[in-house]
Amino acid sequence: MTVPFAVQTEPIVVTQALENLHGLGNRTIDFFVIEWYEASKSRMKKKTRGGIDVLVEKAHRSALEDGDLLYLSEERAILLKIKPCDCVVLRPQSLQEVGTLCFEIGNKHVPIFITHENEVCVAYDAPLYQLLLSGGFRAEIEERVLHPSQMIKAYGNKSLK
Amino acid sequence: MHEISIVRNVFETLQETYPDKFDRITKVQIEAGLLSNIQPILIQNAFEALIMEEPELADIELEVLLLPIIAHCEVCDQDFEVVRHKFVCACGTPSKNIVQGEELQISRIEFVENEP
Repeated sequence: MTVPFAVQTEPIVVTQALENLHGLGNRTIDFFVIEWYEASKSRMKKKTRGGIDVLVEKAHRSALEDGDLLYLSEERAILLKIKPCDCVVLRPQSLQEVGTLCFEIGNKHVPIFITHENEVCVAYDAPLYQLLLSGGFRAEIEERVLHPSQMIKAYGNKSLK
Repeated sequence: MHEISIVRNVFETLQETYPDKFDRITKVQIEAGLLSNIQPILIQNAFEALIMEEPELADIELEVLLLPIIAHCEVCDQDFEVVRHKFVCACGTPSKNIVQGEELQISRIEFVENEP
């Protein structure tokens, strides 16, 4: 028997993102909304926008990505949504500038994201923003979604292999 | 940059405070003001590292709530949110009377419910 969501007490347990092979059709789309810094969490329980309890319980540490399909039934699909946040955005003009920037930001141990447009993005932090301005960098504050796949890692960057 | 020691301290405090029911904790919520110099991503990463060291913590969710900065305007006698570190009220008066934003505290703990 299918239990209506309104009276369902046990959360939907998600262990990994699902493959979306056949599209979502006419299903009701619901969203599980997280902050950018929660994408790597191995465990988190929240309500979706539609009010359904979802427990993410990953066995691995790979991050969830904006738009990931978390749950699919005949009636409903739950997608992951990463909230946009204020970001410091820089558009370096040379590789040397990229290196200098990443060195300055990396010293703060703050994750750096590089977009497909070769922008350098970090979550807004007032002291860091002031530091970059005082260093002569042209930094702007924009609202962005920080995608885990665009985060630079100290090792294992696929593009460097 | 001291997130590892902060996370360790949080769980040591919980173990001291709840020795009998520490193993029933399912969720710990930390409130961090934007002036507390805490990076939530580093807190989360530190917790994931701590789980590798102490696997019994894997059943606990750690949630970090960022608190906006709130200041008080003496002229309006009202609180206002400080956006992007501009400590100026909508009336144009600067203020350094911080009401909220410097906190770093355990704000909520959830336990497994008692068996019937």
